[in-house]
Amino acid sequence: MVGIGESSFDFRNEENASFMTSLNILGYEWKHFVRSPFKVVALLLFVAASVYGLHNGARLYETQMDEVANIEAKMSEARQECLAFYEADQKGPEKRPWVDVTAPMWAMWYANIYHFNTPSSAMEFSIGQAEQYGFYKKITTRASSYDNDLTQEIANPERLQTGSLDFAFALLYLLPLVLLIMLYNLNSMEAEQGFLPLIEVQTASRYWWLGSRMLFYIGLLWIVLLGLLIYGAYLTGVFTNAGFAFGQMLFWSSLYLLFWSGLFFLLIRNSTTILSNALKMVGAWLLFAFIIPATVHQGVSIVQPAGFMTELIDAQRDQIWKLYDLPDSVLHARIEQRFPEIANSPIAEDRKKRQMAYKASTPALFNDLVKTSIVPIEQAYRDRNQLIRWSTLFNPVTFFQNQFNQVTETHFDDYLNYRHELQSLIDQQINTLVTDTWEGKVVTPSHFENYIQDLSQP
Amino acid sequence: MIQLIHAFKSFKGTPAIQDLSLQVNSGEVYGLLGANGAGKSTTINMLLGFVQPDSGSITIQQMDVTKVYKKVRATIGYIPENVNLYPYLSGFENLDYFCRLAGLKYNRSDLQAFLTSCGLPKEAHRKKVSDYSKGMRQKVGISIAYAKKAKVYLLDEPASGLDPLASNELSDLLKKLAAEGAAILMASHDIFRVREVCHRVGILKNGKLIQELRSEDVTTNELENLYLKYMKS
Amino acid sequence: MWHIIKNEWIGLHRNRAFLGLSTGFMMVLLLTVVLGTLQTHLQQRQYESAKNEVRQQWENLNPMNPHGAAHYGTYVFKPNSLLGSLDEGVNGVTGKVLRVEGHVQNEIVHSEASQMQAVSKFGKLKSALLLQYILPLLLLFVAFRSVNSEKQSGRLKLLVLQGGQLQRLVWAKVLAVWLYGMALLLLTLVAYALASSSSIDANTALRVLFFFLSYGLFYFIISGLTVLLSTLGKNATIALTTMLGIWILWTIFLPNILMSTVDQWHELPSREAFKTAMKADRSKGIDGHNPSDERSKELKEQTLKKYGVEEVSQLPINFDGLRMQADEAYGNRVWDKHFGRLREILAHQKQDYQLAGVLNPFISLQNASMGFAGSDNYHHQEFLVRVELYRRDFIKTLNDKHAYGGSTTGDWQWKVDQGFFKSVSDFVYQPVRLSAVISHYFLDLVLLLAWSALVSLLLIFATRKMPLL
Repeated sequence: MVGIGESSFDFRNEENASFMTSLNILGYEWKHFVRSPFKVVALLLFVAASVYGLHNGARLYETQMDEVANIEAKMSEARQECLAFYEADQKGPEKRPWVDVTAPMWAMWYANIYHFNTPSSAMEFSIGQAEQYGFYKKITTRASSYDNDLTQEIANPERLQTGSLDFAFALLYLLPLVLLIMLYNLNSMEAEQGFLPLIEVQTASRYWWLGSRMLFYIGLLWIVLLGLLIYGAYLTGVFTNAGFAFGQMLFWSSLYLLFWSGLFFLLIRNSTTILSNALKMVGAWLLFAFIIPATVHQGVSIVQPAGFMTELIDAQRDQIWKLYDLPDSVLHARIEQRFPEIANSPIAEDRKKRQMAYKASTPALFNDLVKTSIVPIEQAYRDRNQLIRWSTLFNPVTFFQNQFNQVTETHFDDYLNYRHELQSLIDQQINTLVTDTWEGKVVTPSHFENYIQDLSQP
Repeated sequence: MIQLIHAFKSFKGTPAIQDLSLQVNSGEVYGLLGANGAGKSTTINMLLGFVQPDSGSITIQQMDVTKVYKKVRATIGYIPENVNLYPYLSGFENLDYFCRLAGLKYNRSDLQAFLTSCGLPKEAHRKKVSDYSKGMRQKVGISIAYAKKAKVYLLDEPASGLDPLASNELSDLLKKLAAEGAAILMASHDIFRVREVCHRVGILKNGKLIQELRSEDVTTNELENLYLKYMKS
Repeated sequence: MWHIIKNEWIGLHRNRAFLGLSTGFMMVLLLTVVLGTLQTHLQQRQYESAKNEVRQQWENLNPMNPHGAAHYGTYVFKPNSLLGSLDEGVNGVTGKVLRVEGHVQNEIVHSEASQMQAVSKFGKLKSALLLQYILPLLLLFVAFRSVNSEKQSGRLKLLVLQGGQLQRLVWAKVLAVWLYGMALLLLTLVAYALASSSSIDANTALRVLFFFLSYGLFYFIISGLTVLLSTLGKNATIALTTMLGIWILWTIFLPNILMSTVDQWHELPSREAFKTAMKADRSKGIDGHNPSDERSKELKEQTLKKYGVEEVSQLPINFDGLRMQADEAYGNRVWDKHFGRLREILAHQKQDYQLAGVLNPFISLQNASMGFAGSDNYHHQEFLVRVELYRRDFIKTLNDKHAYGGSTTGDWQWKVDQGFFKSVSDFVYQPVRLSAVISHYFLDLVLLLAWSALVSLLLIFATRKMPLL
């Protein structure tokens, strides 16, 4: 027996011994992994679910892009129709004799200005709240940023409630589960079988050994994540259109993986049985993925309940109708107060045209009413979201969920910003309409093109 | 060399080890006999650095276990009562893995030689440990300790559950290791095996070393009678 | 058998960890009932306040032309579901406000989900969340080593030698776990009944009963399956990991995948495509506001002929009202066609999703839970249909008043007073009858029963073949 292993390299006393030991553990972990069918199947299922989720997201992205292209084509068609009227020296379609495309109001109508919340190509990573809101809207002087057409696309509410299986879902809920399956018997199996002391005697530090083993699974999952992100990025051209979003997704998903790894490490480092490991990890997952977000959701709906938007519906109906009921003199005085500059305009002197100009200016008052009604509604949004943000101190899953949504531009704030852009375009259109109408502007094809150009940029 | 001097340990006020002093020299096998709960495992755990003594000194190879336990562990070969290794790895792979954990990298033939010299037949090297008998697993456990080229071996009931043949092979192995200069402490309640393999025997009761004697000074029957006398008293 | 069940319960009762976990779980369950009821009360108050405000505005309208009033319209708000405090179902993602007016059928808008950033993918902390996701896990943890531990400790041999029957032992284990689940379920329902005693009628009570039945069946499946795996598995860890795998597949993985898949199988149109198609069909009808429209002229000729006069000015009625109503009637047909198709697609999606209960009884449970709670898409669609029927009635009342109320054609200045507006009935929502709900969820109940039967058969078979070692 003497002499065995004499030629072997003993690096126990080398400086890099710990590092080499970790590398050895990492290398061997592959064997542990592949010989556990449960773990392999779990990882494969995760990959399958993620790929499915990526395709689901890409499908929604493409559907929305197609819709945008479809509407743009219709916009262009309607504009061409209007340009044809100018060319043929016509006021409008024969069947609609009241139309006059040389008047600013009708020219703006035919300019068919739509504003889109064009989806980010990174949307496939996280559908977020994209299915809760509309993403295109025609800008008219009577439009508002809370019109009915800004509600969700036609969808099965049960699907919305169950939630679509997008990549973010796989990341947020399935990734911790896969990690759990990878780690549930680490440390605990050795402890249960009684050879953990042997491991300690061999490695000198059990935590180092456990950390090294975990590092393998963290690395494995990180590589899988990276692969999935790259695969997804190629589906919709993220590298070309939203390269930064790719980096951000990688950053946040890596951080999320580290969060769960850290948490699981703390839970399993002193476990003595597989059952206690599994219980603790499943408990943590239930707590962070289910209980805390659901409690916050319930709490928010009690403390800051989402209302029936009565302020808005009052403005859109009752208050506007009350404006209609006002005597002309009062209504006109309000318009003059709102736009003092019209007093000196050319039309102000023309009694006949003045009536039409007042009529064309009335939407400005409607718009003001709606805007005023929106203020408390958006304040309530802010308060509610503030409450949710505050909860992220102890609600990490919701925090990461919203981070993913922000990266992929499918966050609540993205749609709120979109509403603000819409409002700004509506304001622009109203102001231009009032100014041009009172100036007595006769719209020419070049003015028409200018409308398209100027009134499309918020 | 293994040395305990006036070691004390209690758990929640119940004394587990009381004023324990013993020494195991290089080339010596020391048997620690005692009933369940006598303090054998606590002694081993203190030597491994898993349990801190309340007082007293514990050294291995002149190193204070309580202070440099990581360094001490690198010199120890430990064989638990049940060597339950990774069932989905072979004996060969388990040995390789545990060697790597200790920072030791051996080539294939060395690893095979360790297993063979510890009594594991060659045809079993590549079989999964889940198919091994307890004796075969124990041999892998010994080869793990042996491959570490340890100077000190701590064995906690190593022969428990082994068949007579495997138990006999274990005795031979321990004798060989001692002959190579190792200091071996073996906790057991197998009087026959202890008498046969150990140079010295200590009887532990309620955490106290109540008798220490040389194996060659007593027959197995005498040792048994002595042991029973102490246990009944 | 009762003796074995009692013994199991004593064992569980003496396990401090289990007792602590159960107590904690019961507290959270009770909390969900309290919070759910509180939220329902708050919503009900908001609902009544909004409904009253809108009604007051309607009743206090200044004298107005009836068709003007049709444009003024009203709003209908979606009321709480019957058992919404137990299972919120789709209510968080569907709109709550529907404008009712002439010429157009509006979409329901302002969902709760659209009024805040994302919080929880699995909804609020309602009893259903705990009963569907967490309680089965608890049962699983209680049951996974029930038989295996007997086998590994050698007690099973002892039990058999003492004359115990394996079959009876295994069934007792299943029933002990199942009864534990049922006790927690019962606790929830009793708490719910106490918290909502004032609003429980026969219909609600029956719904609660079916709700209870669905969960009871599902818990039996979970208890039976876990004990089965504990009987078959080499060790308890295998039973636990397999059951955990099944739980993940059933509750997290499959519902999402299958729901997304049925959505792709039966694709819904985009809003733009849907609106364009509606508009195209609508344009083929009468334009209520355009007297020179061809179809309008046709209607005029028919009306003149009917009344035997030459000019609309000679008509004893207001032809504008008739034209408006003809426009509405056509619009209603268009709505029936297009929304009917939409509802058909949704029904196909639902049917296929229900069939997925063959693979996953959790889907059947979710469907039945939402269905009996009245918070599913079927109830939502029924609400939309009823609002549409109300809209038709509401607009017809106004158009009839316009046509036959005493004004003449072209007299848009003719007005009706508040008395008339007060006489127009408000929208009253009658919850869907349970018999209609049962027919929709019969398949889910059958599948839950079939799964229970399958698990029972497997248990019987496994117990016969079960090795004692």
